[in-house]
Amino acid sequence: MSTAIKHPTKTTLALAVAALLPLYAEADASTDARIQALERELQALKQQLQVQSRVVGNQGKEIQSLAFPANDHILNKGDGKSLKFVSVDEKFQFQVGGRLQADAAFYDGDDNGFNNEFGDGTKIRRLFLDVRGVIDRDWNYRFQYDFARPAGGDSGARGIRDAWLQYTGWGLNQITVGNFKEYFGLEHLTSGLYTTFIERGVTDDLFTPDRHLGVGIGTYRPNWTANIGLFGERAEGDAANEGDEGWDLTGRYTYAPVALAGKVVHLGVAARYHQPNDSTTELRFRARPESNVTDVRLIDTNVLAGVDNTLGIGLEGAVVSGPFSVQGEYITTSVKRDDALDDVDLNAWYVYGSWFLTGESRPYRTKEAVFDRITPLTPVGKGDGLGGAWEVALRYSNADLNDGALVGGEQDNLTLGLNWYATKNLRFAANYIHVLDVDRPGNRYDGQELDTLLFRAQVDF
Amino acid sequence: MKLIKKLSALAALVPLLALGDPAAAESQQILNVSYDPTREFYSEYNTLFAQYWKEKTGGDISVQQSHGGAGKQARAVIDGLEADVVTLALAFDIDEISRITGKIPADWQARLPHNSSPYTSTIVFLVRKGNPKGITDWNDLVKPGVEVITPNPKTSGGARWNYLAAWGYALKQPGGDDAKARDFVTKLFRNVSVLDSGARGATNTFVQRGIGDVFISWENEAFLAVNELGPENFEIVVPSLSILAEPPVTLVDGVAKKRGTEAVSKAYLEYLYSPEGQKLAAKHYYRPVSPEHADPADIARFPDVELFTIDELFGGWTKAQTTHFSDGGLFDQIYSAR
Repeated sequence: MSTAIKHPTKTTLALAVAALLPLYAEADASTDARIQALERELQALKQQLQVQSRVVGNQGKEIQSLAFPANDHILNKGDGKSLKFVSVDEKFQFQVGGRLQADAAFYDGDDNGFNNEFGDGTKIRRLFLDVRGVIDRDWNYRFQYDFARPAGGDSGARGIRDAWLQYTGWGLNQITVGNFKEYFGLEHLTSGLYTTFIERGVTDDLFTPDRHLGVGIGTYRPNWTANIGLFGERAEGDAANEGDEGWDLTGRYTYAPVALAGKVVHLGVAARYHQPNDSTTELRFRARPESNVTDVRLIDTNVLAGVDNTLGIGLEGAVVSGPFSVQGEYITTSVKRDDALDDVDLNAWYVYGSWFLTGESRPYRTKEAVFDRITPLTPVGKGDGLGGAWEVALRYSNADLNDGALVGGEQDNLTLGLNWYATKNLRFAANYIHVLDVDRPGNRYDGQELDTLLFRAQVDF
Repeated sequence: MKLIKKLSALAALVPLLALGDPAAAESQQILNVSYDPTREFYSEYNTLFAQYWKEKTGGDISVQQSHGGAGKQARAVIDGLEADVVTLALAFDIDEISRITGKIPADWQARLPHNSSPYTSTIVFLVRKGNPKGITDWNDLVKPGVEVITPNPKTSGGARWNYLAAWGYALKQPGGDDAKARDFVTKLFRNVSVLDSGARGATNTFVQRGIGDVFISWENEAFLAVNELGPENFEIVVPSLSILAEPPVTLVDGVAKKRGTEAVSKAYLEYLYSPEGQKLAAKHYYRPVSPEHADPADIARFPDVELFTIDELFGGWTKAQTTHFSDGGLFDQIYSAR
């Protein structure tokens, strides 16, 4: 065996090594190249990793800032109705809103040519743009403009509705300055979006003072509210009246022995002392037939001259028990006039009951002692059936503008109402208003028994 | 981050648990709307109940959970969230759902034993390790320089218990009356630096963000924080006196009837009273109403503390809510006057 394999000589080995060297060198070169490639790859990966860690770091910061955002961050808050911008500490808020109420009315008067007079037709009842907000937690503001109101004496300023600034930083008291509703009347102070019937009862058109420029102070507790304010005239100047502006001193106190969701007992009293503009000393009391799509007033005192002052007293009451509610108000106004003229006492009242067939309950806002927005238990699109909230209601109202020699007329109305709240900000309503009687001897409307069908579509955001 | 990670993991599991087996013929799904700190308990209870239900009826049940501040959760149900059952922090919120929606009968609290509360809890303090501010009782919380964390009583059920526990403590001191209690709680809220909307948010403020010296907390939430983050970081201080908190549960009849889930939803609530349900409640630091079913080691963790009830001192939830937490109530007055 030893002869079969020859041991290599030194020369052979040297030759073999010499032959292999280039191969080794070649292998060495290729390893280097691979190492270099790997190094490059490593470098690229390192860079990629750096980029990734920066991204992750930024995302971490972002998550941190979302979890615990700095106070200068602004959050958008949607409530299914409108969009609100709120600073993280909730000290600053801003919200843009609006509302549309589109009405249609059909009248059926007695057969003596009145039908055309009432004027079947349509009307944009309210078209508001509305901005409100909070500044530094303690200051609230609200500006509303109603594009549906006809232009007044001064360049359309009649459209100014709420335009006020309110300070809330003094305990539970609020001080309000600007154009806002005088503190008088449950239905008057409840937003026109939330009233059970399309138009408020006849008391409102006759006696409640609406919004005026003024200053008010109020406070509230879980069971009571108290507000008082001093007011001038409407926001729009009236060039025709150049004397000293009329003014009002108005106050309201409410007590709610029960003010729970679904169970409310509300009682209230309000008083308003009014002194008219000293150059005209005139006042007029009249009311539309609980439909605003007409300019006809079946009852009207016409202009009462020589008015020194008036004192209005309002009593209010409401009970809510689950889907049922009853509400009523009585308002009386005493008009003091010059010695030569008779003083007159006028009054009006209404009472109504409402029932939610779908089980909702009228919500009560304790801060302002008014009723609030209806939220359907099953909004449209959420349940099996049509959805929305259905409410039926019946109202009786009376206004008496007859006193002694003054024959402004007495009117009794019966109204049947049907509401469909599709969602919390979409509502459709139908009212049938029957004038039971007008007692106004000597006037062409005496004995009028007007029937009205009134419809409304409403959206607010 | 450990607590957060575990909680997120559990939260992530909930939908998986909820999915169940859609192919099963008798597969049902129910929604339990609960308050903030019950996440961990119901996450485990739902699995336990599903096993029980499978054995008993052969049917599959998956339970979806929703958690948040109790007041907010009740509002969500009122606004149409279709809960088959609610397991909330206090009876008033269920009363509200009942009154407004009519989906729960007015006498709901008499339908299950122990005022429909299968477990109770109380209010204790969580402080940082070593108790650097020397907090031992409620009166230490009103001392100047002590930063207190508690959620907002207007939105959180736990916070309402916290507030009433403090009020009750002041009331029960020698010579205590409503005026002194109001003064005490006013001072306490002057020391509150962050008012989160729910108990879990407040826990995170104290635990994760490191804000505050003392956190007024549900007992179970305090135990959870200490357990998850280690006793080396926090410790529990038990005050001399606290309130018996009864978080109630009930069927939302209107929803369950409509969805055909009445039987399973009722069984879901009744099973909370079973030995297994009671044992699990104790495991998750809730005081079971039948402690004999719980692991004695779990029961031993609960310190002895003198407890008063809301009926004793506040005349029940409706009165307490109106007086203290409604708009214009004592809390608003106290907080606006801070």
